[in-house]
This record gives sequence, structure tokens and C-alpha cells, in this order.
Amino acid sequence: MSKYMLFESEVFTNRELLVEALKEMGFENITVGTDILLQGYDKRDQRLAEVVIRRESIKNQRFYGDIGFQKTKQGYSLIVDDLDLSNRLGSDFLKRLQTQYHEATARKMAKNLRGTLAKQTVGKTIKITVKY
Amino acid sequence: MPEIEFLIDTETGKCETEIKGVQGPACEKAARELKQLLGTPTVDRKTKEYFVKPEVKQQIKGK
Repeated sequence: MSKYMLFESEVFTNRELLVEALKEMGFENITVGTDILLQGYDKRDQRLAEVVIRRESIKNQRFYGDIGFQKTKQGYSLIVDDLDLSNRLGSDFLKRLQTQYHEATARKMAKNLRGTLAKQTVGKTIKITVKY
Repeated sequence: MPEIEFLIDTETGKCETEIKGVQGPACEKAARELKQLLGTPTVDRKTKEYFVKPEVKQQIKGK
């Protein structure tokens, strides 16, 4: 072993991987752009985002507002209505998204390094090995 | 064979990575790429293997 790193951030650095992770979670219609106005928020507190899931595009559920990811210096940060998060997405939404994002990162690294990928789930831990 | 191991805790969302089988600073390239995708790590440490100098075999050619 030559290097160990721990990543805990709830902000997502790479837009392509963020979109891939959201698709893995079942969100099909994802809009990507610049300063997209989010719908469903107070007009006095209008929110802009770069990655957006429109509330009407989410099947089987009625959301109060769009789900957005706003670009910050650290990466893309989640914007969501508090009630949508607790009652519809679930309070563990970010943890699940992080998991998908990390899996997408492993796939990307395997591709970039022209390596092989092996995945194993043990309890609540997913172990992915990329050999190159 | 070099490898990168990802340990993803589905409960906390945290991700531990270990770059293995790469002696010396050669692993920095993979580490840099990981940071570009995952952001700034909260823990970032070199391990013993990092400091092992790659073995150079000397070959003596006969006349």
C-alpha cells in the first residue's frame, strides 16, 4: 500500500459523475446548464443551479420544488426543499447519492486506467477493486 | 499489479481509498486523479510502501 485517502464531502466535484449517479438513482430527466432558475421556491429567495431535476419530471411523487445542484468553489451542492427532502427523497438522500457518486468514480478510474473492476458488498460496505 | 481499493460505507456515504502496489511517487498520478473526481480528502497519508525505493537490478554484461 502506498497511499490512503478518506473522502467525506457532501459536495460533488465532477458534474458528469454527479449526473451519472443521479441516473443510477432513477432520475431520468436531468437538465444541465448555467444559472437555471429553480421552480417551487419563494420568489424572495429565488435559487439558481447548474444541474436540475424538474419537480414535474419525478414520477409518482409531487414535489414542492425542483431539485438542484449549485456550483460552488468546492463543487456541486444540493438545493432541495426541506419537506421534499424529509418526506419524499428521504433524509438519507445525500448518503445514497454519495454512494452512487463514489461507485461512478471507481468506474471512471477503471476506464481511465484501462483496468478491471471487481465489486463486492459486505454488509453495509461496498468494496470495489480497480486493477490496472 | 497496481490497484485502487474503494471502501464505500453506504450508511455514512464516506469513501476510503487505498492505492496499492505502486512503489514510490508513481502513485501520485492516480491520487491526483482521485482528488480531481472526489474533492479534497479529509485524510491523506502516505504509507510505508510509498517510501520504498524501486529496486534497480544491475546487469553485468560479459565481453
